[in-house]
Amino acid sequence: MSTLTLDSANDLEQKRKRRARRDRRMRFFRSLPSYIILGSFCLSAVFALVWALSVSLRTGQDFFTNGAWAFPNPVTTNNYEAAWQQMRVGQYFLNSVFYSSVGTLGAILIAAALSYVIARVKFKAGRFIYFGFLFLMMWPGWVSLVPSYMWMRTLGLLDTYWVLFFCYWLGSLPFNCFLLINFFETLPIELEEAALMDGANAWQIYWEVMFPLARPGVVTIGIFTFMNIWNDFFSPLIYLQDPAKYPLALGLQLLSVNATYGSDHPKLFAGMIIFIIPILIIYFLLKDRITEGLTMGAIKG
Amino acid sequence: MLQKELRKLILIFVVPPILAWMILNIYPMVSAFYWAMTDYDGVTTSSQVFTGIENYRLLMNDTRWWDSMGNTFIMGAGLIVTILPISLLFAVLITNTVKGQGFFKTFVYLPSILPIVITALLWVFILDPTVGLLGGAVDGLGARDQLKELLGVNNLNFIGNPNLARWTVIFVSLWAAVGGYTIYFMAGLSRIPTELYDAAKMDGAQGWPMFWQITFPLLYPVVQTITLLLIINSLQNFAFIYVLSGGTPGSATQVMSTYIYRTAFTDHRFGYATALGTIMMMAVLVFTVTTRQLSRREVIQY
Repeated sequence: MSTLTLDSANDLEQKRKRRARRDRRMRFFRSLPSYIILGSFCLSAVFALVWALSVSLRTGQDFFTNGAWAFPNPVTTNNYEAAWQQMRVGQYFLNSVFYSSVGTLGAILIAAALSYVIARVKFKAGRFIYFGFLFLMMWPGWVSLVPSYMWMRTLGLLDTYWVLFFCYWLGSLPFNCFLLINFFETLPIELEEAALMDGANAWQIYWEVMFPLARPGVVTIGIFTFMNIWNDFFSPLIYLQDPAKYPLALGLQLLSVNATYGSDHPKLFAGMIIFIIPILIIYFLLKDRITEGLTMGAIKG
Repeated sequence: MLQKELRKLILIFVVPPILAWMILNIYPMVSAFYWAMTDYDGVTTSSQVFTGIENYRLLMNDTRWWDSMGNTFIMGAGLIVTILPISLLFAVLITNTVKGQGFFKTFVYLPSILPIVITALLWVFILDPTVGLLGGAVDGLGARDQLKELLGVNNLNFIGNPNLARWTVIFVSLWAAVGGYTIYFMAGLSRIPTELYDAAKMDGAQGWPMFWQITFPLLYPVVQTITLLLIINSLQNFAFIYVLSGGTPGSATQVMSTYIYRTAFTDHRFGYATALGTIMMMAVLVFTVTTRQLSRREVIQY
């Protein structure tokens, strides 16, 4: 009797396991189409990048005689050296680093300070600025393309670093403030009151108490601002004339126009890889933060 | 107390950036309406004369401008009608996969973080009929003639052929942008409470009916926001087209933004380009507001 129950219990256990396995298999087969659809899209992205990398490791002659699909033979890193030195990619790279770091630093400091005051101090202009920024986020900026260019020329800012920094510091302001104002509003006001009791002045309250607390929000907008400036093609195209000041985005476009007529494709690809590596590193290190920050702005707005 | 103390910050934290903003951004925006009524060529001051609505009369007869506007709307519409269902599909698929959600999310979004210049250049070379991946693949399969016949074209130059160029721009823009919109949709989907699905399952709902009866209505506000974003972005697309095709061949992919850029910086017609800019602004605003009104519908609370 007792063995029988044990057997049937065993049986039951076996059956349950089998069913679970079948369920798992069923589920896998049911999600197979989605794996295929998503997988092929993901593969196209990875493949495009791997292909670019492989071309950057080939000699110009190899690329032309053996076609786009061949493996690098011989593998060479000369393209990187050549691109960095002869094709000015090194200079473009340093320019990009300079614009992105100073641009981002300025943008987040200005945005955080402005957002803090608008979030905490009750004054009429504050609401006005808030709604003005909301409105400007939707505003089609193309209308002022030519007038902006002429105005910057009148101010003597064309072809200077300043014009780019003004673009980056001010241009990113509406979006960054919009996110940071919401962020500051969620922080408890008691801390500021306590700091005031302890004899802190306004600057200390902001810089020593509130700014550190806002760090998650500031870091998020910092990442986005950095990536936007790094990728920016438009402002340098309009406002810069001297190729020595070009960032990578514009420099590579210039190189690509010239490369069409020569056998410089692998060098150009080496330049492209140099351009995207920082972006890929940032992305894979901070991907969760980036996708989160993306939705923060879009869905609320 | 605190208010009084913090008020001191206005002078250093608010006044300088807003002042700079007014001087560097708002002033040119306003002055646009003056420049639009001049014949300024960007160099000679003698051309800086007030011509009233002359520019607007000119643009009425500027067929290239109207073609650019047409292209903007055609390519914008093409992008919107493909990107919405595809990104929604991707979002639903990723949300419902058992394993690998994080993986798919990371790699679906990957094309969207690439710099526009890189995406455009990559595709220029991928689609190149002689040295590119596509040309190589077609030749490898010995299918060059068949593909030409299938597409009804006499060369496989996807960017240089007027019949193909528009489709190519739409396709590449789609490839580059779909990941971002997928992430938006995923965020929207994750906010739908799972209890609703459980309840619907109890009632025997599954698959499509469940999607149309529950997911879609609850996702509608997100769809609305995303559509607006898409319209604003696709009507003002510039860098992509500038690098990919430069508006060529002929003016098959010329859009409002590239045409304005060209008019100003290649043809040196600053006054006229500004006038075109004001029209583009009106077009974008009208289109955005109309879509907003048309898509308005009762928001379902849950």
